[in-house]
Amino acid sequence: MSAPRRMSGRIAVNLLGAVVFVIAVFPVFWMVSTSIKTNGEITGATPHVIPYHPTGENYRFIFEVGVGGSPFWLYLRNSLILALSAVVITAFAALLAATAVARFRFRGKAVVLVMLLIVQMIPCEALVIPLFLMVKEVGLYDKLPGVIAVYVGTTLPFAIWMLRGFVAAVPRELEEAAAIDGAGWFRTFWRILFPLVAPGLVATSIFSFISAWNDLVFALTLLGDSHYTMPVALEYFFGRDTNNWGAIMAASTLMTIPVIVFFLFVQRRMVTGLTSGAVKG
Amino acid sequence: MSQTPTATRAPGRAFSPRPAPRHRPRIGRRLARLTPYALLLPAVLLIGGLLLYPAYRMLVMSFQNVGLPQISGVLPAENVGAGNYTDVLTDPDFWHALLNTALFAVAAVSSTLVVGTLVGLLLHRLGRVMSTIVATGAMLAWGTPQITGAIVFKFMFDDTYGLANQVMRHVPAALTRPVFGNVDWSEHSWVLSTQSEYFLLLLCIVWMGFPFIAVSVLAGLKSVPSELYEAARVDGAGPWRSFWSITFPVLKPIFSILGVLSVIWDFKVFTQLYVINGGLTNKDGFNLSLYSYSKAFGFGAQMGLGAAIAIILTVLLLIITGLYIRQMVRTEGLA
Amino acid sequence: MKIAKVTAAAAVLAIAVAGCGSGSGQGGSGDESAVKSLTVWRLGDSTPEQTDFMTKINSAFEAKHPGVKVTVQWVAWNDYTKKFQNAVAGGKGPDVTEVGNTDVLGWAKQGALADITGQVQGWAPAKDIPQALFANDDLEGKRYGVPWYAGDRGFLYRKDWFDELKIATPRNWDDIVAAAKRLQQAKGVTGLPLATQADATYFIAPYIWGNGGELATQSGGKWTSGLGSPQAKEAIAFYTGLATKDKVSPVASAGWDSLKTESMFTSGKAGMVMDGSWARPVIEGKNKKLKGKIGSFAIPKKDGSGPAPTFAGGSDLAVWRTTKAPKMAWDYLTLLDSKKNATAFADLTNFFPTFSDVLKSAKYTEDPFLAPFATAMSTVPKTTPATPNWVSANQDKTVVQTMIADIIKGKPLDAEVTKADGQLDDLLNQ
Repeated sequence: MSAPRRMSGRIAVNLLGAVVFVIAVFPVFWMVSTSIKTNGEITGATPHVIPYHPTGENYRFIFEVGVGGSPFWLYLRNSLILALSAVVITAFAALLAATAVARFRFRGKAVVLVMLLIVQMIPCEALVIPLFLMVKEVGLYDKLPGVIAVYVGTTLPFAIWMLRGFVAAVPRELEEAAAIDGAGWFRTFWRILFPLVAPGLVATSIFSFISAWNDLVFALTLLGDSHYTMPVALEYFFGRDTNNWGAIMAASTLMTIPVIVFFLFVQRRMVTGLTSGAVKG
Repeated sequence: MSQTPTATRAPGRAFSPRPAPRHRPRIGRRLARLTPYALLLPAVLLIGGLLLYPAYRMLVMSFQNVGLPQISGVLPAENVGAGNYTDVLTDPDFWHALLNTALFAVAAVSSTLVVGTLVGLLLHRLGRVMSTIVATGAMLAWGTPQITGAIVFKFMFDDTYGLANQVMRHVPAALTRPVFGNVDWSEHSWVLSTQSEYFLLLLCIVWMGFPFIAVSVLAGLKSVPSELYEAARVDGAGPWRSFWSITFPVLKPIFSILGVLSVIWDFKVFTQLYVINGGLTNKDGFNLSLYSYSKAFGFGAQMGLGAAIAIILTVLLLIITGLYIRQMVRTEGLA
Repeated sequence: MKIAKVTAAAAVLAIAVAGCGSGSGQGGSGDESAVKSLTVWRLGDSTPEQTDFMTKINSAFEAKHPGVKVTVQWVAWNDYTKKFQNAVAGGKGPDVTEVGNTDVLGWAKQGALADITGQVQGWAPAKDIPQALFANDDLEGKRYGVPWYAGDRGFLYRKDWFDELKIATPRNWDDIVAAAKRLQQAKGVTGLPLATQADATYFIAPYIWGNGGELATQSGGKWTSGLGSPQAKEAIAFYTGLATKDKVSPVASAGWDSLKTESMFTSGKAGMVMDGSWARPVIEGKNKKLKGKIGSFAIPKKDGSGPAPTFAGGSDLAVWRTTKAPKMAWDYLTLLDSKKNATAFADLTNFFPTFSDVLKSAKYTEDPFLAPFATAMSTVPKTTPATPNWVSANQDKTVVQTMIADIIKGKPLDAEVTKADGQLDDLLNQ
């Protein structure tokens, strides 16, 4: 290849990269930008990419007037409680189960693994009808624990599947060495296995956190308005005040930015986790 | 399989709770044998209680008449045989929703995979700095929660205040006419026709879905030693041939899992469609998830009917992903 | 037939509900001292004025019932079916609720509301509420709600633009089209954005009624849809023609509800809008520049021979069936619906109170903005078909709305009207 051709090829590739970057970032940028525009600027005939008169009015509205009569903090708190509780329980149960399937040979293991695969294929949104009835029967309708349980149940199979790869990747020799040194099971687990599986746990936790944080259908169905989560509050707000776009974008920004920041830190582990089912090694 | 069976080690001994006391080997072994089951117990209980049992309940309900009187316990659930299924299969809304679901799944899965792969290849070609910048940008799209992503797209394509129409108004009609026909962009609605609504949904789903594909493809590409490409070039293979003979085989297993995950995600889209469709009033825009939900939780609460639709959705998904499960079972040597 | 089974089940439910309602009423008499909180559902937006009003009512109630705390929850109109549905299914509702007056029967049939026949009999102010307004509260000889406030829909328009362009107040259908076209052309705005979703039935109904048509009529216990009559068809053709023929509303309006059209008027993107009298304070609150610039006129008959009959919309108050404190709930309801408080509330929101003696006062008939609404309502108010099936036909199956939207999208009028006509026949007689 000649040098000029290589040069122009490089420019083309970089240009393409810039286009992809803009497309990827634009909706998020537009959301943030709209959230600090005045109403007049949003409804004006000529769109302004950058607000001419930035304002905090929309954020003030979200926190002072709130959504559906409650300040936004309430929904943030509900969402956090649900997501964090689901993460802790899921990670714990998944670690135990992943250890069992990655480290032991036992009767029925094949059945367990196949079942794990199959239940992942069940669309959990479809289960909302029986889950609604069950939650109601045990008196957990409009209570956070009911939804936490549902989140754990729906994310657990995939979490185990993800974590299995990480546990299997820990060199067996390390464990054996520890056992020879006379370390007990718990010590071996805590000192040897846990640190090596930690990245996997992070990936699993992020997966279940995002699932819970994102969920609309279960929160919408299993909770009343005192326990609405951020997605439900946003949907509700979106439905009732369809054209207060500034405030809607402010609320969306508040829900989005923390997750994105969090995501930027941990994205690499997510990828490893999600594809570990297929890509070994 | 990661384990190597050894004659000296009892099954289940790999990670025993405590080194078995030598003088009572039998009990120790039995204990050790129980360990994996104990470890599995919480997960089995949770999955059994929260996935399998509800799935069973759903199946039972799909043959019953369950409405508000049954839920409030005033009347017992009544067996209606296959009545719900007959009702569903004779409802034109069902076939419409099925068509929407299937066509959208095909369009979304293929678009996401193609766009994602192209971006993955691009990331591989880019220099370190540019690659990081683009990947970071893609993370924004990926990290955006489903609901806010859908709301932002709905806003950008709003008929009165949306950016899309404001921009389209300034594009010469000669350019837009071949694609969109004669459209008055001053208050063009993007959600009025079902095709247009699903096009919007497609944009939203592809935007949110391509980064994951891209990054996974990139990870696959990085695992290919560059010497292979060198060797291919020396042998006189062009970029097209080296893609198919070197890159593609490496990416194939990644594609198979990405494909299955995408099918699962795109076949049952709920949140984004709920937002773009504006809730449950516009029946034309339903996919199977929304159709089922609207029957069960809309006015009249026909939960049995909703359950029947959900069963159909589940079975369809299991058939599609069944092939994949079979392949996984084979390659993992599970059966 | 499955439908027959569902109806039978619902009837059994209604009986069972009535049974346990009165049973617990007797058993629980005087035993509400343990209840320390009362939940009230209000429909619509929680504007500061409304919140203040409710706070005053609550303080008065709490003073009368020491130790009881009242909580008001606001339910958006477009969220309200789902919310009620979930509450009935989940068994967790409020104690007192506001209900859209056309929906009382539907919710009573679903088992959401308590039978308050006895209580209403012993409540003196009830005699001043017109019997016609109670028609929507009675199901199989039992009463499930009490009218609270009412209002009707008409036109809001930009007075400043009408003055500037010298447009006279429209008095017939042609005038409306002419005015809308003029505004559209001179101001570059949408002339008359049309609502076709959600409560759109109440916007098209006055045109049908004013033309001598009906939504549905009942004889011998059987309902017959009136949509297919020539009078109704002409009205439907006019309404949808505003978008398809006169183009004073875009095709996109096939997806619009009145929240959307109102917001367009609020942001200065429309010259006129069909809306309720109650919308003015909301609009002025959101866009202060429109203060004093909003005029109103009643929906006219085709030939201009007077205002068309309008739909008397509004809200009733009801006690939730599963309340643990039916007595306190009733007490709260009557406090909210006392002549003084109901009137204060109506004034606050540009609605009308339902007490006929209050309604006749000069306060309403002489206000330039309110008068067109008050006149239209006091002459010939109409309500929608008084059957519990109306809720299902209008809110779940959205027969009329779908018909309007499909015609605007370009489907043939005759076929769509015939289809809707048949559907309404079926649905109202389930």
